[in-house]
Amino acid sequence: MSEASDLVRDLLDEYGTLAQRALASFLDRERRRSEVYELAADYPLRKGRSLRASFCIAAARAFGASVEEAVRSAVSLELLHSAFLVHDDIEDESEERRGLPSLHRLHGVPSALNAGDALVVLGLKPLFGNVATLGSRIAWRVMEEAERMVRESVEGQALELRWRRENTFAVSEADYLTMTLKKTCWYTTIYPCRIGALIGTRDGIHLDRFVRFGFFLGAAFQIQDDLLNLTGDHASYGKELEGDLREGKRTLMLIHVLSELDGDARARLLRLLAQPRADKPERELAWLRDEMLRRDSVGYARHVAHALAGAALHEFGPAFATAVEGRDKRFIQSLPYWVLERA
Amino acid sequence: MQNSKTKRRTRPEPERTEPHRAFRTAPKGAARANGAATPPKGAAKSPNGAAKSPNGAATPPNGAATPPNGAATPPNGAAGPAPGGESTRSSAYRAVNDAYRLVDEYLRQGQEMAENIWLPFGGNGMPGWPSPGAPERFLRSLGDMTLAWVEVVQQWTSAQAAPQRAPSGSAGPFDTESRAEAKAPQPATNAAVAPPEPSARRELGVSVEAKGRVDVSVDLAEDAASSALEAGWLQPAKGKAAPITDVSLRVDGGKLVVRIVVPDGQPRGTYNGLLLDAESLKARGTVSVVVR
Repeated sequence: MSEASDLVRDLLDEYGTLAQRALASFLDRERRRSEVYELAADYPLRKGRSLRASFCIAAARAFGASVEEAVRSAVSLELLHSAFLVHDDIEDESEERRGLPSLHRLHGVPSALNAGDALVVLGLKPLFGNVATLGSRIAWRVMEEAERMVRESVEGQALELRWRRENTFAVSEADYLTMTLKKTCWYTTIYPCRIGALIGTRDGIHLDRFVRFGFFLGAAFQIQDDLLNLTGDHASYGKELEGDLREGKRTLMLIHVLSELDGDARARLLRLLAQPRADKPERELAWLRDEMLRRDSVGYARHVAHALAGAALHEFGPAFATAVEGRDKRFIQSLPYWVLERA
Repeated sequence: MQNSKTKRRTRPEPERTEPHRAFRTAPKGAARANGAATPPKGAAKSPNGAAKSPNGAATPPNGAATPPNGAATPPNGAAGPAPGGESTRSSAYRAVNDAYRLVDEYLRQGQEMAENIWLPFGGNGMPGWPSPGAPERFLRSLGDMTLAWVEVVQQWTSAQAAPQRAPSGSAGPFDTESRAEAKAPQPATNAAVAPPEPSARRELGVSVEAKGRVDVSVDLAEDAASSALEAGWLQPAKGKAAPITDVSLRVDGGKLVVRIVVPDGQPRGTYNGLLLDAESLKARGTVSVVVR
């Protein structure tokens, strides 16, 4: 493991613990009020890496803010992230999340949906609290950014759901990247940079400068996540492996293998993709996985992830040129390496 | 007719409208994109209208990466060096060119949308548009209203979180911008302010005199309602700036008003001070001022 990844792990540990502590304290108060918040607290307390919260705190600190000024926004982001996960798991019929059964498997779809809604509302509350530390104007700007982030994310999810609903096969790489930009990058990498800089500079910086860096980093992150779903280690991945194949998720590997196959093989793949998740035969899924390896779809996706991480590294310079030199800035600069190295 | 003397307000130009093309810092070992994608019909155009060719303009990564620790090594470990032959690499860099084109187009569309939103501000004489300045006034009012709403909701959510709270108070933050305090300045005093009637809820107010923009927050302990209070100086949270010394308390119609005078030229930063029980000198509340 590289020095860059060690730094990322250290800071994720430090800021993740801080954010988790603030999150747990916030949820503790809410859980006493109603059972719905007990359910809503499940995913946030399963202790993920808190990547987004840590990224948000680091970006704010890199632009001169204190942890206290950023922590509410970080907690809000973790809650909104959990809300997305609850709803995503229902939409994708996912069985596991962070090493445990998904919420809808534990409590049924209606209760899980409601818990997801509760998480959205809970995610707004720390943003109101920002008024106390940031003042009305900056707190309002953070809320505007949050609204945009949520909007971009649901638009991206809608795109992916439409492809699956309509069983669309003609998905290009550009389509995939557009979906990734909206669905993954906005809330994973672009938004943390934007609100971090917004808080740190007191709205004194043009936030679009972070879109390129966040997009390339987030896209590399998503492709690596798709690769891990196919080839990763179950214990560290925390979700069921090959879930994407079962869902017929339009990943870069699937797009690549679709372009490589023709004749009977292509027809076979299209038949498989048209089947509902539960009806997809294991034998056919194993065949698809083998084809992805044989046709180097996995290698191709890995190449694209590396190249996108390189582009992110390249875009880091102009995006963070005015940030304060130090551990937080180095952490953000190291993320493209970590994204590729994470297992 | 457009008034030629009135300069149209537009969104500021983004710092950059297209990617840097040097790729000096891209990962080591990256190959040139042979046969990279030709620009599709309707490819992204730069703001000046010139067509951008992601193939022609975007030189693919060919430099060596400089990781944060300074070692020019590509990422290693779990992902390992990217496999595949030249054609895989070419395809991969075509994908990156696509990604650059996509994000450029995304930013361009965002900029166009923003410009369209701003357009009415230059609309003197536009048919059906209200009198000059009306849109600005409307938006300013809307902004004030929404900020007020945020503060109301925040107070409401705080009250919901602690419905059983004993008599206490919390006020602010009070965003003064550069407005002078409307109320007549009161003489500063360090005398303790008498407590209100027992069991009365202590309402809080803030009176600020400042030339620049400051935010003020006041918090009062739950058991402070029956105390006689006095205010301490506001010390800088960081650095060695002079404290804000003109901090006083007065009771105005049953409301406890914290009065703060921020001297001209007070350095930017956060200043904190205590509200003390006049007898025991124990802390009963805090005052925070952020000088912008």
